Amino acid sequence: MAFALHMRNGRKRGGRPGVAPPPVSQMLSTISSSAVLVLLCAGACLVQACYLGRINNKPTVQIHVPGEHFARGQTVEVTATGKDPDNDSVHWAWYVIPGPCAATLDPTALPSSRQQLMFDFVVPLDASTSCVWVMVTDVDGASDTASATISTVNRPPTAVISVSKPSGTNQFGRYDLYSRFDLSSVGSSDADGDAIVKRTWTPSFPPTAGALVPCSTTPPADQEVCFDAGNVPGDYVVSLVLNDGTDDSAPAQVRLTVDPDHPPCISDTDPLLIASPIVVDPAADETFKVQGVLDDGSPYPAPTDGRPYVPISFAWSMRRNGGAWVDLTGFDQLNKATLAGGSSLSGDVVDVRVTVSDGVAFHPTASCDAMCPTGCPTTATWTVRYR
Amino acid sequence: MRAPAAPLLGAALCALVAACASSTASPGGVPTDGSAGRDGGGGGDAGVTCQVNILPVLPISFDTVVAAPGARLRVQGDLTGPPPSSVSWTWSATFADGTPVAVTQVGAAPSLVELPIDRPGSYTIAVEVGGLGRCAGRRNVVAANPKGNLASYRFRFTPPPSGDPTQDRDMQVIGGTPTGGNVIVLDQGMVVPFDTRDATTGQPTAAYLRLTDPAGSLVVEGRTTAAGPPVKLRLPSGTFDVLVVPDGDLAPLLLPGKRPADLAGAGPLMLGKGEPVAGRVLNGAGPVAGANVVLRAGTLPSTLVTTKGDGAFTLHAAAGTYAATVTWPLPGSSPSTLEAVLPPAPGLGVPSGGVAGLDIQIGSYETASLNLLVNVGTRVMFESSSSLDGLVGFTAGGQTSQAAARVRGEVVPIGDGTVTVPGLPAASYRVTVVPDPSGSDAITGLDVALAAGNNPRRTVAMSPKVSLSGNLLPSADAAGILLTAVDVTGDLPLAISGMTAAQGMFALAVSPARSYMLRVRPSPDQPLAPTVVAPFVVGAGGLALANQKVPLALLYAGEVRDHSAQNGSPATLVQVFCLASAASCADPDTPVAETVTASDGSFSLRLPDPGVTP
Repeated sequence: MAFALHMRNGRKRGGRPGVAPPPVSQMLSTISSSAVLVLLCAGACLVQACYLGRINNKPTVQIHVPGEHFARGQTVEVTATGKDPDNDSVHWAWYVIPGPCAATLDPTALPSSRQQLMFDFVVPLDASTSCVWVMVTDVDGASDTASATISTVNRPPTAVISVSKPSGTNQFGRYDLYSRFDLSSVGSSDADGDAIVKRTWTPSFPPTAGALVPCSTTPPADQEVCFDAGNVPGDYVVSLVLNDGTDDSAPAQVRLTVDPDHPPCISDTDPLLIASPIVVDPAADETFKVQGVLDDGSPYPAPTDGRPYVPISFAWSMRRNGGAWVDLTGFDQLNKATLAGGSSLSGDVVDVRVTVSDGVAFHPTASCDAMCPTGCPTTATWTVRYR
Repeated sequence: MRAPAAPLLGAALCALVAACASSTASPGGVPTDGSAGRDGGGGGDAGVTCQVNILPVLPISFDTVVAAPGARLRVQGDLTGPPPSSVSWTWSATFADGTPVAVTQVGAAPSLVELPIDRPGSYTIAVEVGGLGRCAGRRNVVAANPKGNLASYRFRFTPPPSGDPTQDRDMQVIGGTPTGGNVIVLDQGMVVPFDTRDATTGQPTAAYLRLTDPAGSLVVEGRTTAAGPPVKLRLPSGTFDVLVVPDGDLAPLLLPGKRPADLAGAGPLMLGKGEPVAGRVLNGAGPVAGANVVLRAGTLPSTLVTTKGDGAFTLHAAAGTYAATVTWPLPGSSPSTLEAVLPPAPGLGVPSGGVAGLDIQIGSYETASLNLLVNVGTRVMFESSSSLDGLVGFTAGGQTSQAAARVRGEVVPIGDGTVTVPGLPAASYRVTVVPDPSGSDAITGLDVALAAGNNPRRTVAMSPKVSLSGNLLPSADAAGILLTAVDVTGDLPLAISGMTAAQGMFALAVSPARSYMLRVRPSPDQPLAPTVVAPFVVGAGGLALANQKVPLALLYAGEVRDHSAQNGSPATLVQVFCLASAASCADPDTPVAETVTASDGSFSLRLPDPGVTP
């Protein structure tokens, strides 16, 4: 940089700082070579009286801005380059004037920075235009200015959809039937800090699915939306477009795939099936329990989080000594059945069987919950040896 | 670990619950009252330990917090350890059900806040300091209903197979005081391998295992195989009575009062032959084949043996004194079975190192035939109603004891409804005809005295079902409740389900002259808790039950943590049982509430509210 080199070289000639050069000097101000200046001066002396003092040349400056429109709050690195023909030391001053650049710098303006070569301009947060001036002044008071207009531009908000409920997907990365969804836009943002004035949610649901509705009437009611997949599987696509009062965001989209009904499985029993055949005193009561059923709509125990629930049904039966199976009627809502003491004899072998059903006759997918035992068992059978 | 004994009512109840939450739930001494929950002690910046203790200001003790309209609780956050670089305080509070409670700063100090305590229940107060969420504190405060009744329940926690062992805890709740933020830390227990081997060959042998906690009702069952590796059972702390019943001709074994550590260090369970008990089963015609003979001393059986053609048997048992049972399918009287039991006193002594003798003599009897005409589609069960005393004698050590005997059987009529059972001992019988339960016919019983020979056919007129009716209270909330009348007469498993109508009224069609227990199961969206109505007998004309008050549901929420006290225990079955000692407990084996913990170990239950004293 010319100014930087000059500063390193230091001052090479005498002169009176702050004294304006004579007219001849001004005429010759574009001549930069000292040798030529001396020759011309000598020649002039032959004709008339000659001024032998210092001829100052004013510095020049150019401003450089990496663009014209910038985001609010953004820091813009404004740079300047310039020369002082005399290699004089110069003073820098940067000014920020609201509005478009005028023809001249307001002489009453106060500088924002006296940093050399570069100025970090923080774009105002409001939508506005600013003018950045740079002025260099040499030791003799000669100066030059340059300016650049910097305008703000609105950045559209960024829409983000997050699934608040359910808390996660199933093992297939999808959602179970009967899920209730709570979609939130709270993760959205606006780089300019603008308030979101409108959220436009657009559902694309299977034909018989329910509607997308605000989760709450508390403003802003459109911040979170809910829908109930009910018993309709398929792809639920929801788009979100935000508006910050000026621009729309690019649409955000989520695709929520709701599985068809999964078959239930018996996940836990008491006694454990691995303990079978069980040895039991004929005089003792023996109770058989299904302690856990994993299912999308009919788990056991019943969910306590308020989600839709249809009680699982149990079909109990038993047989004695290899005879025919006999249904235990009335136990279809009960997860346990008891064989009373005294109802069997030593040597009897009794099988007790239970089959669970979620009420869905046909499951198009064989997949069940990942926590289910191998084979997704819907039936549990215990064998009791009375001894 | 048991909950502390019931203290006086009033403000001390608060202390009780707080104590329950911590002392009951944390065998490892980990604070579980949330005084500086696990999210509170993690430290601020890397490597820096920092937490906030939440201390009472007004009232001066958390034990004396009483809910009332306008009542407020003032607390102070006490920051320990190096604070985060920027100190800012963020307070929050929730009621037991998770609803937010407003927290307001008192004065200029952000560490001093207060919140309204306007209803009984638990309040969870949380604070974060520094804005990073890493220097925090949490406190669960219970404002007990001063008029609340106390009730104890047995909680059973059954984690998934990879988790901690199934275990029970007794916990106490206060009527009218919903609580959240309860933290239960599970006992790690011990994994005990069971390797059952034949003591003679040293080879693995299959066996059924049942471990019973004599102090409670916890039963852990398993089975070893002859080919597989030892079975590993997860056991909580405590002692267990261990019953081992081998599949083969090896004597079962009972190991009382064993601690898991004892079992784990005992090595393979070597199962010997036991002591032999030899004898014969005879009747007037000579040897009896096909009779089953077994001994039983409490929960410990012998091997089960079936006599061969010569009537001889040899069974094996551990040394001791036993009752003896013989069962014999009566020849020519299928499906009738004779059962006779020699009671444990005087019983049969099985000496160690000797051979016990036991001869069983089935006396002669006159045969009779049971002839019935019943509806097609029914089942007919019969059992001798008069003891067939003197029919069977047990001879041991030179002494003969006459045993109580009975004959029972079950048969399905042939196509025309005819039932014929020949070859029965002439005696009195109780016949029970079980119809298709979906019809209007009731289970019908009749007494039949069978004289020797061929008795005339008797047509059984089925009784109609009768009404079991009543009202559940409070009537405003008792409509649409599922209920099931479970037949507990004992001869066959049977149940009848229904639903309450408006105002909680119900009427079920049941069979007369039978005993029932009524299970009442409100759905999760109803404000009532499950309950069981104690067994009652329905007479010939039916039964109108007195109004049955269904308890309100009382929220009990919290988190189950594994033995580390740091991690939630997900997918853990939480069951709550009433205690048999409680007057209101009609069925200590049926959960009054149950749920499964979420992925973070949290759970929410609706217990029967013990109510408040007016």
